[in-house]
Amino acid sequence: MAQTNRNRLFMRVVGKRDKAYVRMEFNKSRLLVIDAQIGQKQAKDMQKQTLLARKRLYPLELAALSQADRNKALIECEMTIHRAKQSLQRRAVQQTYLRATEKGEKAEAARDAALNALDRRLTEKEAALTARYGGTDKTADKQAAEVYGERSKTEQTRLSALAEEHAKQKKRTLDTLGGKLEAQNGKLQARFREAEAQILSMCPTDPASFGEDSILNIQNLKMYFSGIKAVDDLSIRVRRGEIFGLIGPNGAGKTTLFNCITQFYKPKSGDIYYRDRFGSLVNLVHYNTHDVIRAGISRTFQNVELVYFLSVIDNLMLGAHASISSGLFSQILRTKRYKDEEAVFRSRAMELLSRLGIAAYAEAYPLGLPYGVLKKIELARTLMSNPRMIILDEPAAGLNESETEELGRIIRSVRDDFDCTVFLVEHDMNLVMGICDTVCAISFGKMLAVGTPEEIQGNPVVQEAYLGVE
Amino acid sequence: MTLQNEYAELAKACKPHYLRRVARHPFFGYIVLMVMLVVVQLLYMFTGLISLTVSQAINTTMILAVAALGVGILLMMAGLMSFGTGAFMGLGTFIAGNLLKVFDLPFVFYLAAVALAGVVIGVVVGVVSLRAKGIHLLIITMALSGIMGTMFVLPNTFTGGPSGLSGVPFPTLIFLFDTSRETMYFVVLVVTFLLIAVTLNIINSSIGRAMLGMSQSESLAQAMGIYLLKYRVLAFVVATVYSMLAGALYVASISSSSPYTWTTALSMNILVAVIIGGTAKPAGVIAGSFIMFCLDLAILKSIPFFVENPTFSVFFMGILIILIVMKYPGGLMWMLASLKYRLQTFRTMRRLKKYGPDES
Repeated sequence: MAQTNRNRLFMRVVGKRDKAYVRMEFNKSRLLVIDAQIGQKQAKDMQKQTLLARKRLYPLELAALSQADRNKALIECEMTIHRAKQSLQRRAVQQTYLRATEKGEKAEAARDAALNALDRRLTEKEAALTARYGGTDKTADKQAAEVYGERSKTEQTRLSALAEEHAKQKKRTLDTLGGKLEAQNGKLQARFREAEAQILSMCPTDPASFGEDSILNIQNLKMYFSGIKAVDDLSIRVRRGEIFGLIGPNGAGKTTLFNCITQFYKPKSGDIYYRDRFGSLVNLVHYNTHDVIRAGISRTFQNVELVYFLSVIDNLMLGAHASISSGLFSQILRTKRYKDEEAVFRSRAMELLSRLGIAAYAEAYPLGLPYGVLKKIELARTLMSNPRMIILDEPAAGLNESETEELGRIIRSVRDDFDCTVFLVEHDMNLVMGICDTVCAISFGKMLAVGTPEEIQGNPVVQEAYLGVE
Repeated sequence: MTLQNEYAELAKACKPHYLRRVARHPFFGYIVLMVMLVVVQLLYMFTGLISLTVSQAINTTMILAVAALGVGILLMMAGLMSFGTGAFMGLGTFIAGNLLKVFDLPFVFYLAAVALAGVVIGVVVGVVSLRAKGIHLLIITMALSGIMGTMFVLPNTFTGGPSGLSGVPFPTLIFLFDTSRETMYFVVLVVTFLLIAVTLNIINSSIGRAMLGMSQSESLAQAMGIYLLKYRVLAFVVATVYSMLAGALYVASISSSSPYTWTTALSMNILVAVIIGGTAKPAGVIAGSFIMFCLDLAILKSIPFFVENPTFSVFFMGILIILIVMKYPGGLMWMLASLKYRLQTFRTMRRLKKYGPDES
């Protein structure tokens, strides 16, 4: 009982620290988003002002031209509009011709006649315009040119003054907000430190076997299902930053081990030590299922699990659920803070989607998308929570060879760019042997061998488990 | 590119169609609906074009739509079914009615008090009952509704026993304006509009996504860091608060409340309205409520044939509901979406046939 209470207290402190951390992270990215928002607004304003200036200058510019040039410009302008108007008619003519030829009729003559008629109409229009804007005086009006030059200079200065004003305004807003956020962050930092100190004092002492460079250390894990030993006294160590592959024949207990790590099953005995992003050692066994993602472990599913009522980008936003720190009321009333937070994660989601090459599907709904795309969406969703460790459950299941190859490349690049450890269960030996740094083979819940892919491939025990005894 | 063309291009880029921009606002449709309903009431008040029946029918429908909004979130977002709506509405009427009889305060305070009571009751009932879900939750809430219905009828001063609460005074607004049956209509509209806004915010926020994720797959939701019980209780509390607010609006605009109104049948009607709507979005819920309640109360009641043979209106409503549910099981909004899709496809095909594919 005392032990349980102590764990509960520990988890509460961990929760406090994680909350402070999430808030601090948001405050950092909030400034960037607001910067971008102000930039967008000001760019729009600038565009509008430029347009207005252009509108004011346009008659002056025309007046500064010589009569012939002016007429040419005006005629060209109206002709462009007529040509654009005719383009649809031309397409219709072409389409009628195509349909006729499909039926086996000869329609070239009709088509040519129609096109010629359109051409003739254009020529007529041009002639009419030339007659209207008659005049071929080639001398330019010098006085008007001067006026135009002056006015354009004033407009230019006005615009540059506006740009300066914008820059000043932006700086002012950002400074005010930055100061506010900094003060907030100071408070959060204090809270964070306090929780951190408390955690350090409560942390289980580093077990000797827990190496400095390891991120996950499973010790003597046991999981039984009504007498069947799914995982039996398993000890595994995963090093930080590696791609760790777990293999084994069907029913070896791979998925059970998975679910034990992510706390979908509570193991019967044993410990799962995990070094979180602040370097403190926590025992995942004490975590609730929904708190595991806050420790920095996010997972995918064997069968793609996406919400089919949400668009792809909203599915990714669901992945950021644990990182969204706005409270209930700020969401219900949709305050500025929540809008900013939503913008932060939406931009991150878009970034991830375009990194994985599926940005085109952002607003689409997942139902009916190709399986490879769905897998990528799931991978992107795990990255939304800024994880330290990604757990992939059979990522290559249902993919063809080229897709699997691409997936391998993506997993490697994700590991390198997002600075996380990858733990994967896989049946596809090509993928496992191709990308993993360490491979662990288990059978009937017991460890067979662990080592580099080459060692595992040459290991007689593993071969026996896979192929049976000769 | 000539000068004028350049100017035209810029103008197009900078100045989107103002009307279209307004129409794209998420509240636009709701504001139009509210304005239409206000016009209906004004027509009733100042000319004789609209009858009292229609005005009262719309008032009742909007009140029930408020409760249906909550049920929509509970059913369509969180995937939970409850038969407690009617009983909670009744509780809301009795709490608000007793407060109105005792205190003379602006209406906002009553609404706040009822909402607070709703939160408390929702949390208590939710935490106890939401460990069950699906059909079991339905049975629990049905039993609860039965208990509460019986308790309303027991002779006591709170609910007024079998005869119910009557003679509740109309509330004042912001200490100044006294309301009447006619003006309460506008208050109901305003409160409904605010709750529509809140519902939209819930649907489009992290809460709504969490609820949808939870109703689709619990393991997915847990892996994403969603505490299931918290969001279930939240959905339940939202539904409770909405139905109790609907009760408060009811007692304030009708100034009486009979305990026999708040039965499981009413809850079922509201549930059907939501299912006909087919979505948690306020548009669907309100459309469903109008078909379910307003069609019967306002339109059928003003057709002489149905007035003379009231049984036929029941037949008519039943067959209509059966037709809608069989033809469009996804609800009215799904029907609209599919019609829109068909129209779009038709237009695209016609364009393709006439002009050929676009050159890009």
